[in-house]
Amino acid sequence: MGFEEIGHTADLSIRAWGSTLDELFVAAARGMFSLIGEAGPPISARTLELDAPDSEALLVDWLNELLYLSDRHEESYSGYDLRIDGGRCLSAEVRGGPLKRREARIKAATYHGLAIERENDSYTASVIFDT
Amino acid sequence: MAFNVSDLKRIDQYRYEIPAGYTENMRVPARLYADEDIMAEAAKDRSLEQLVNVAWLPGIVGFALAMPDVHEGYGFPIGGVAATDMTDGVISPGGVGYDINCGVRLLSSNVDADQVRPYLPRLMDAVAGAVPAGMGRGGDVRLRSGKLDDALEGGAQWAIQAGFGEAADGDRCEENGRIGRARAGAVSPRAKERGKDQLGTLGSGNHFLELDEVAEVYDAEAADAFGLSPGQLVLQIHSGSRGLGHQVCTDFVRSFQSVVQRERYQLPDRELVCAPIASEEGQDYLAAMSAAANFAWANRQIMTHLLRRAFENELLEKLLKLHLSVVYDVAHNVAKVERHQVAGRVRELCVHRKGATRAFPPGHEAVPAAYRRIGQPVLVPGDMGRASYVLRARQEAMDETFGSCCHGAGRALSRTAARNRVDARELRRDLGEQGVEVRAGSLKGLAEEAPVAYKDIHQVVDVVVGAGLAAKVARLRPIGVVKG
Repeated sequence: MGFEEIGHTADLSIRAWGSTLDELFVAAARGMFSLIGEAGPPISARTLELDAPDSEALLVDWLNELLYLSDRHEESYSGYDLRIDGGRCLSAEVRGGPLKRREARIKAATYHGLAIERENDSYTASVIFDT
Repeated sequence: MAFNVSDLKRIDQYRYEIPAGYTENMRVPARLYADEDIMAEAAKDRSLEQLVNVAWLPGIVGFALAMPDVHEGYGFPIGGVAATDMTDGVISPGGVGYDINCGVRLLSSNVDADQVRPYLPRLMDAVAGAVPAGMGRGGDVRLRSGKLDDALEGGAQWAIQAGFGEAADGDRCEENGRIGRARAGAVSPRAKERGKDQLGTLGSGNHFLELDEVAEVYDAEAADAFGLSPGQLVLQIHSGSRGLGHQVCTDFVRSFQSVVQRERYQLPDRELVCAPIASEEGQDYLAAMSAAANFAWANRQIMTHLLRRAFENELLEKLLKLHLSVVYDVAHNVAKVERHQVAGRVRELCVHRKGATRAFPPGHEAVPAAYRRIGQPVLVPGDMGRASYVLRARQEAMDETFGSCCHGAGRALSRTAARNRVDARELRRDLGEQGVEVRAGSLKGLAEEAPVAYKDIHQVVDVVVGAGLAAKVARLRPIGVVKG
């Protein structure tokens, strides 16, 4: 499980990977918050319930939901308990704290060029963020 | 990723076309306004591939267009223009983007830059202190839900009536700072939640406040009409609809995914999701996006007010009696219902401008009366080191580009590449030596916005002027920049 930042002319982009879909989603969230900024000591827990027509839409929903929470509460998240059912339903508890220092303000995760690729026991996706 | 340059047909010095047959799903050809260098750069990333995808949009009319500041975006390229038919065409949130009505407002002053230069650091502190920027949260202007609805439907006009400005300000805005078809009820509670404390705030990324000197006037008559003269101090505000607009786009990109399935559209890219304009979903998006555009106009209007107040509070006021007037205010990211002549027939179209400005010619009724003889001011901000331009729109823009022109220099480097290449402290020192005083929310953000990250504004403007879309009125030289 991991992520890396990749170059994009206008915006920010990450590639994330994991050995399960759950891990991929956690890696993508970590990648996104590595761009936004680190959390202070975890003091808040927030729960999310999402469903989407497919796994790609679920990934975008997941990241945009986290962005909304982060924006609303000026928080960053570092702890993730997450469960995905059938690739289209997600329930999660995320833990985090106040942003220590904001590095970037991301407007949204986009669908551009988004595809979750599965090869043997590895899931990979690249996400472009509008900044 | 790269585009095959040999598939581009050169029409003349500043126009390239990609025929509709390039991919089987293109409904119209694509056209790029560029010189050889800009074309070659555009072919290196996904800009042209994205432009070809735009040509797929159901109901698209004429050409999928790209301006010379074109660069890779998501869905649409930045610098893209697409007009769709109001009866059988679609509207696409990706053709507007997340920062709905991100735009530029130019303010003129009654003093010369030389008069304020001795006080510049203090003036910059006053400017930076007046408008909450960058990483911070909301501003001083907090609204109850009812008032927010008024802002969403009233735009800059609402802000002026609420005491944030002067009556004449609204007349000098595209759409007079208010799109009438906005409906506050079409904006989600979540979007309103994100926006309610963000009026009068700059935001981060490429948003800025800039003090400039009018470095050169090319067209004395037009400059006089716009209230610009050589040596004058002017200000630019570059900002948009903040979290409210981002959420409106997120909401509709999400909800349109199912519309695409219902309509059985075969999308070349999911970020190009769209809905028939005539459908309930299409109308809801048009109403919500227009409301977000109004929010952005209210935002720039309130920032104008905050800047005026800062200048008044500053001791300088007593020495200089400084006053700021609105020259013009243009939207960069918006879709609007406009009437255009297509093949000899007037048609009602939905013109998507994603990183492009409206550019209506002399005589057009939407151009403020004071400028109608000259043509609409087209504001083209460049990077913080080089220059910005004030242009005036020409009839050719109406004939060829649905009354559209470029919106800036356009990025040349990714943020990552800019950060790797630029030392922000050195940049600030170098800019200082060039006479540009910088206030930045973060060093990282400053490095990402370095001049080297942008195309050469002079070259971009030469293309639109050479192609006849607009004419030069004045060039501005930055003297002070507040980056969000």
